[in-house]
Amino acid sequence: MPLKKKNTGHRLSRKLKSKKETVIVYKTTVAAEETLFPGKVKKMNDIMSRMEKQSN
Amino acid sequence: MNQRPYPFTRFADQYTFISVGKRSITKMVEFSTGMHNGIFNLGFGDLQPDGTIDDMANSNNGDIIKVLSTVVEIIIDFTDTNSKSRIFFTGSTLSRISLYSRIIKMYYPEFKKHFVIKGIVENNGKFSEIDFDADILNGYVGFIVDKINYI
Repeated sequence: MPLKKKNTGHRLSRKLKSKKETVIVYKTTVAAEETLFPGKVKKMNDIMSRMEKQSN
Repeated sequence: MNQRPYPFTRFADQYTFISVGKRSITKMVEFSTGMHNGIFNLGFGDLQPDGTIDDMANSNNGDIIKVLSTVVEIIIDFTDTNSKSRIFFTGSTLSRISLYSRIIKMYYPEFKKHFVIKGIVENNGKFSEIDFDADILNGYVGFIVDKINYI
């Protein structure tokens, strides 16, 4: 019985650890979507959107 | 281009290299996605001491060919891992766009070995994509680069 409890705790700790890792991955993804050149990206979006609208 | 490119490092979609001319300047190239799938903006600028990027800088470091050669290598590297991606780039000002047109014209024989270059023009408020014409240096609002994938 004590052994079972120990194992459950270990699994819980691993679960928490993997949850923590998930949060870190999410943060990295958000950071990657930020750009050092927001003005240029906006310009690209504007031009591409207008070209797309014209072709429809 | 005859000049060997500078060695560069890549972290995700950001690349850095050091231009060694009159001074040592850290250059950054970033590919960022926007609202449209498969097209990336190519941002290029000098890393400032405060960590920001200056994409208006005229560094005049005496190594423009080497720097351009490095940017071309970076585009090749990026499109190797994103083979169907299109690369969009533009200048911060009309004169900067015109400078890019002159640079493309100058190195067009080399560029076209690797890429198909399109110019984006605006006519009566309408944008269209045309083949880059080395005889037209003004009038572009941006450029799109497609890598030629040799089989």
